[in-house]
Amino acid sequence: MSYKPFDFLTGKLSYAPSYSQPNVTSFVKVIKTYDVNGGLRFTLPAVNTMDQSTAIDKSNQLEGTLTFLKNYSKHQIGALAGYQYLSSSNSGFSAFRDGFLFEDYPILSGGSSSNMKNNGYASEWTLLSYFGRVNYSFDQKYLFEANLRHDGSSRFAKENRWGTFPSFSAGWRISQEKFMADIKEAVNELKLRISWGRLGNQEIGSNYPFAPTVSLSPKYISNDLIQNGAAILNMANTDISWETTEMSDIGFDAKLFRHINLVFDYYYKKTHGILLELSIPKTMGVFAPFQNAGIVENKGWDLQIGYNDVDHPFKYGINFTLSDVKNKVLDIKGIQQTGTLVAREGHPLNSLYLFKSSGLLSTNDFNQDGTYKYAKQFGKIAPGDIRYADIKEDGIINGDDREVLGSTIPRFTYSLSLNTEYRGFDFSAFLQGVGKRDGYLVGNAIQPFLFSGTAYEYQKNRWTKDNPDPNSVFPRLAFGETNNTQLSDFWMKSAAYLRIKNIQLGYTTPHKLLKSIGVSELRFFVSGENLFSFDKFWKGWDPEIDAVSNGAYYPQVKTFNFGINLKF
Amino acid sequence: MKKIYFSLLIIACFYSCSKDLEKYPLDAPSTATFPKTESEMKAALIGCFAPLNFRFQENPYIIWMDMYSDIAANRDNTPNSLWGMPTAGNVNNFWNSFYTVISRCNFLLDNFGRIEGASQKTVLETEATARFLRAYSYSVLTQLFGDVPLVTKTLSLSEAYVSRDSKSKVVDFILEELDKAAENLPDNNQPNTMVVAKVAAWGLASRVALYNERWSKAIEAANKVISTEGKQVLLNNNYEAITQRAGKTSKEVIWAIQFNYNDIFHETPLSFRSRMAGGFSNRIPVQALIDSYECIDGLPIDKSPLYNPQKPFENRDPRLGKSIALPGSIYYGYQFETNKDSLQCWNYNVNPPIRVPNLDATHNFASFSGYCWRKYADPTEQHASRSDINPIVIRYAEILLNYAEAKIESDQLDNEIYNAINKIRLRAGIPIISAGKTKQQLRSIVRKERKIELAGEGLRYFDIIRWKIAEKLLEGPCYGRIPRGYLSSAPSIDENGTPDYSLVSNNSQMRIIQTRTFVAGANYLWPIPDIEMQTNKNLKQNPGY
Repeated sequence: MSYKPFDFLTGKLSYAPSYSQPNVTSFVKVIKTYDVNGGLRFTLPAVNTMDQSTAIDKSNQLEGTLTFLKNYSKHQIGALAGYQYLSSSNSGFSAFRDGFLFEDYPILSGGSSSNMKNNGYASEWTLLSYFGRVNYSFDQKYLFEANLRHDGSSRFAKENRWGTFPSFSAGWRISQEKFMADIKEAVNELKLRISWGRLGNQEIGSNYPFAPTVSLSPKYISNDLIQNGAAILNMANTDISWETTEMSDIGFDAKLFRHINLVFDYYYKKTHGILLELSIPKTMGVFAPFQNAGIVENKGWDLQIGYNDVDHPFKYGINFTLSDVKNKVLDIKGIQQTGTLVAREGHPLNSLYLFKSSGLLSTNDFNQDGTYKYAKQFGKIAPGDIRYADIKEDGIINGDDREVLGSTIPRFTYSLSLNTEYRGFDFSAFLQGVGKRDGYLVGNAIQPFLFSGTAYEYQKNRWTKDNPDPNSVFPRLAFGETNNTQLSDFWMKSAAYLRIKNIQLGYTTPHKLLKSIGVSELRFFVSGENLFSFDKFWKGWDPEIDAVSNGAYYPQVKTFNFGINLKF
Repeated sequence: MKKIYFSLLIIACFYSCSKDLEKYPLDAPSTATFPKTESEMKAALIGCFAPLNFRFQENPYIIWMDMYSDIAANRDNTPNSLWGMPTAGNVNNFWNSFYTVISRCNFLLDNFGRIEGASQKTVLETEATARFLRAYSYSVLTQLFGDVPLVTKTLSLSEAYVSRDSKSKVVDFILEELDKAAENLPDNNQPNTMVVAKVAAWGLASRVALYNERWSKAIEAANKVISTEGKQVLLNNNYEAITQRAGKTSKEVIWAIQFNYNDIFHETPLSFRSRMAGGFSNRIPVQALIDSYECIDGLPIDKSPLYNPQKPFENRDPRLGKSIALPGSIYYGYQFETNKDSLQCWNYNVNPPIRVPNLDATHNFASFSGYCWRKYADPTEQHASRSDINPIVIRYAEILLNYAEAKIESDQLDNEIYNAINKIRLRAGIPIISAGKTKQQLRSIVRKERKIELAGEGLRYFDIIRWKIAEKLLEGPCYGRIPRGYLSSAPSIDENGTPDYSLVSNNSQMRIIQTRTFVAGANYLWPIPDIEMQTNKNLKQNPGY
């Protein structure tokens, strides 16, 4: 509802409740496989099962604003004050049975009652915000805006609940200035922008990270029956509070020679108090709490250039975007993560933390008696195995010799889109790519015969006694040995790519042909998705695969469409 | 009028909302008062047990651990790659799981004062059980890592940067705690329940004392268990049943990790069963174990006239065929044959039996060694990926062998040693040991007996580590059978029951499952997990890592 006591003042109040009750039923049937002689081979899963769950998700959103807007000759002043109340609660229960005698009747009562289970849950959170905004513009040339938010979240303990987040921005439309009038034909529009702001984030996975609680999830068995237990699983952290990001941006928008659009931004973003689950000694026996520990910066820029010409029968438009961001962890309280993807000070988030490899071993690296001459590596080694650099120079290759050797955050992402039209024919294409990214596959992609599996064609290019090529792509085949399966940069590959995501060609028949049969538009088209990609990644693998995965999920598909659009 | 409504509404909202920011978990109690009642105390104790269900892939840790040793193999990894590096996953898993048990026990033991209205007996029994679980956790940790931080109360974060305490100090603590626990634990051994009985505390004490060469303590503790024979503990006449479903309630079992079919089960059969039986044959016994079983006359195969290299599985210790699926035997209703030329086998699951393609000769998931485990793989289980067999931590046969070994090592070469060992040999169906043996001979006998009797039950790795023979047994190739035949003659068997194939003429045809490595200067202890070293600068790494 809104209320307008004066013509420069508007009050608005809105209430948006939402209620949803998703009901999910899933039934898993037993699949049996037989051998050629009709003998039963496998029964998977062991028994049929059914899960039925009902959830109640409720949310309330209440928002009130007061808006002021007034013009005094060339001055335009606007102001807004408001508050917002957001609450959400989720609860639900589920029921389970297995051993259904008749799979075609998936109703809970049809299952065996000997192993029936049920479960329930509930959680809630609230966010309360007060906010205000003032904007002022003079003669459509100088623009200013200031914002202030004050947010309170139920996810933090009382002392740390509230956060204040201001932001400011200013713009200058240079093209409106008198001194630009002479070149108005060339520079149709030019606007300079500058802004600074601070934002807060409360989304940290758990709804109650500050509250030390006892979990009821641990279970044990006694007498073949389940026993419900309780334990403290997580250490709580009452000091937890908002994660804040400060962002400065400078940029311009321009329109040149009526056809060229140009947008450029440079930004600097610094996030404080990133909520990270920092390592605590495992001797404590609980999971680490989230802590407001990290400081991460992002420096980046975005560029968009477009050229559009629609004044002639041959209409076309080209749009190109290019952006880059440099991510750097400035502080994570000295914690040294040791996984393969790590956040380490001075390096980007999700850096690859690996052993440094330096080629393959040859017989020259071994003494007469077969012992290896240099720093001790992993397990049994032989010519053709990967050599690792002893970074710490202590005569043994171990965890301390790993370094940040790659980054999985894409740099120089770009795209190009093209649209043309001529006498009913239209053609469009969309290309997309990443200029720099380190890709890393694990599992079967780099280990032939892993888990008694198979080997890929490209894995044949390996070091053998008959072909002791030090530049082989794969080292000596050492099944069940450890040296060559260490996570090292030997297996890191550039995941930069250029991909033709989409091409479409269409033809729209002229109106006059169709009017007589009552059709207003008829268009034929062919299109293709993911048609080609160009990369230097492992052959046959998608360079967009998450780093440090074995890529075992449904891949992107190449699709072709032929179609007819008909409008009456 | 509208104006007034509007204002009122706004005021009402501002008033009601800020109170709404107080949200606490709806589904769990606060730590400040827990545990308050007898049922909360019981729940807390179950919480202490819960991490013991941890497993590696399909196998509970007890069953997994023999694959670290010389008698078994894991197709995917060599022993050294599983634990020989600070970054190895198994190292982390053992460290984390057992320190989780310890911290939960510490929390419970610290907070007995909060419990109201519970009977004195239940409180004492719960306390004793928590002490037992904590002592057991430390026994595994010291055996793997040597010196470990001895944490005996709940730590705050600032106190958590602990350093390592000497192994002997931790062992002192374990043995004291087990004595305390035994006082209040119940007498009744109930193997298929979470109840920890007195015999479990004594049994564990005998093991810890033996492992740490505290012979008199080992003898004393084992004796307490032996004194309850017939009442609380008993050798099961059916050796095969002990590690199968029928054995869950056997009084031979002194303490086992509990599983059931519906809720917390494991998938050991999937990793153990042959390909014909729908498994992956991934964790398997190897040739070195097969050849350690004596012949039925009680002589090793290189000495016994009954050993026939052409029929190597005949006239052997009956435990061989009961523990291991041998080529030519029936396994899950199929003829189990791993000779690569046997392209067909019998399926006895249908009547009349039919010939079917033999996947155990041709499939990539066929056993690499040519053998599969019968222990912990029970043909009566309904499905390969659901086993409710309880992995046994301690059983009576081990106590008898602990007792014998401690007596031998402390030079008390009396009749009791023969009694203890012969009880096991009689049950197995092989000739008993006759009196008059020297210390050296007895040591060899007890070591061989442990290898055979307890094969596949998670104790072999600890044995070869404490006997300091791992550097010989875990270095070099790990062998499976000759894929298209048998060994031309028996390998020579040493005093520890370890076969040596160097004089067997066709030894080059044996299948090498994996090439292993063991560095004597480092690998007798596991490394402290890398992440723990990075987090807690007060810890010092074990030498060689």
